[in-house]
Amino acid sequence: MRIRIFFGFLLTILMILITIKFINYLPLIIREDTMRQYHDIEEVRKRLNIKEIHIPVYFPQDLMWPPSEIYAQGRPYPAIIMVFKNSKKERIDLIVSQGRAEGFDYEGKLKIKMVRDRIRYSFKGRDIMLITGSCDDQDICTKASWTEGGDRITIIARLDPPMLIKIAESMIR
Amino acid sequence: MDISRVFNTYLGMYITQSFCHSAVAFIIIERTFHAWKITDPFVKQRFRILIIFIAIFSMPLYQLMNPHRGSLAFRQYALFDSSRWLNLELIGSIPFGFIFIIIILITSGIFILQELIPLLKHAIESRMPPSVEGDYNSSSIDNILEGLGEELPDIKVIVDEDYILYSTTGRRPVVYISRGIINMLTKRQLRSVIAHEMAHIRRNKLPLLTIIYLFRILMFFNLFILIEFRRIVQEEEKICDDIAAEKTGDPAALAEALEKLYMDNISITGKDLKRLSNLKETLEEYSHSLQIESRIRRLNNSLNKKEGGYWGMFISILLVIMVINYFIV
Repeated sequence: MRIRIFFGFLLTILMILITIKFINYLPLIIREDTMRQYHDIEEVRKRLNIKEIHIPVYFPQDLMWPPSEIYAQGRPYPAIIMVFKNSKKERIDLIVSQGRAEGFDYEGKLKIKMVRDRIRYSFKGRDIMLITGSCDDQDICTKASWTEGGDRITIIARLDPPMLIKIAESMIR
Repeated sequence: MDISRVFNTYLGMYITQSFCHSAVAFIIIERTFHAWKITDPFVKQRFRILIIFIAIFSMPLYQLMNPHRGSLAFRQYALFDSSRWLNLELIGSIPFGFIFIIIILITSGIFILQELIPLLKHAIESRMPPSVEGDYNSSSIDNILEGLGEELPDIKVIVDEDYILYSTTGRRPVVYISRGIINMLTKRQLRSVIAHEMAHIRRNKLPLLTIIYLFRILMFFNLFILIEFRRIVQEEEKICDDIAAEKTGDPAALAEALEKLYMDNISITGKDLKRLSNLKETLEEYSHSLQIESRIRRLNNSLNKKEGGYWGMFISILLVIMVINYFIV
């Protein structure tokens, strides 16, 4: 009798899990432009009609292309996040994010834990904020953010500032 | 105002996750009661208190365990990502987050009107002691408290024909009882209702109940805590019924007293329910009468059936809830 109750209860938990998962999946069915993962940038362009996706032209050798993860949404505002891994160390080394919202700042698995320096400088008329510091594992991390035609762009990488500046400047035309 | 940004702040995430985590705990615990046919109010109250603790502590605990839990990468593979629903535009351009804010505001309003204001009123009123006749021990009925314990409270009789019965704790606990109740009840019924109040006095001395109430205030916005706290209070009444019945050895006397004091005054007709102006009061009375009925039924039927050995189940259920909630952001 007790075993029957136990398995009945396990089944209930399973049903609860399936229901939660279904409720989580519903918004993706209701609206196609809800934040979700995409396989490639072209798919994002096609499905979400995001015309301008800012991609670095300069790309350090150690970083893998194409992005290992791409997330994008059309609502409440268009946004795309590209995660790049290091080809040798299998870890995330660069995250590029853009969002058409004031102050959009994606903080993913790369996050500056200890800020050492903040510098504001100008490049081709853009006001770029550069932050240097260290990430979780004490590696040097640098973050740059600026506004490009209505999109807030942020790049954060496990790189020193000169290298990140090169990447950032390669995104500005 | 961009609602999605509100929910991306730590406070916004806390409110949302506290709501979702308590919802999951609420459903699982209700199913546990149903599956194992748990009826002991003491056990049920413990489980319900667990929901309040989960609502308060789960999110900060998970964030401590994994600071990246709020990240998009985590959310993509989570069991439930609340931001998907909060940003979802359902009616025109109104996001679901807006509806969620309305639910929070209504819940907060109910808390203020039905719990906080009455509590403050009660606190003010209890500072002004009612007009009393003197110590009950020295008045009409003697030896009524005999055998109810060593630490006996003072009994004060309120000069009022209405049914008033409550107790205060503090250095010298007091049970206030109105003349109306004394006239209505027999000696053994009176003894049982005083024993019930003494149980409240004894249990109110426990710090746990004070902590629960403080946590409940912190969770003023949480609909599930609003429901659970009311059920905790109902369980508390049943626990005190059990203690009183054990002390007096006469559960039927308490059942009879409850019936006399509460049930005789309540009669709800379909006509009452049809009149919209009376609906709120009628429903409140109806719900109150259901609670009293359930207490009377317990006292007449299955009292003092203590259900032991639930700790294993308690810990297992807690673990199940904690694991599921970790993946709900």
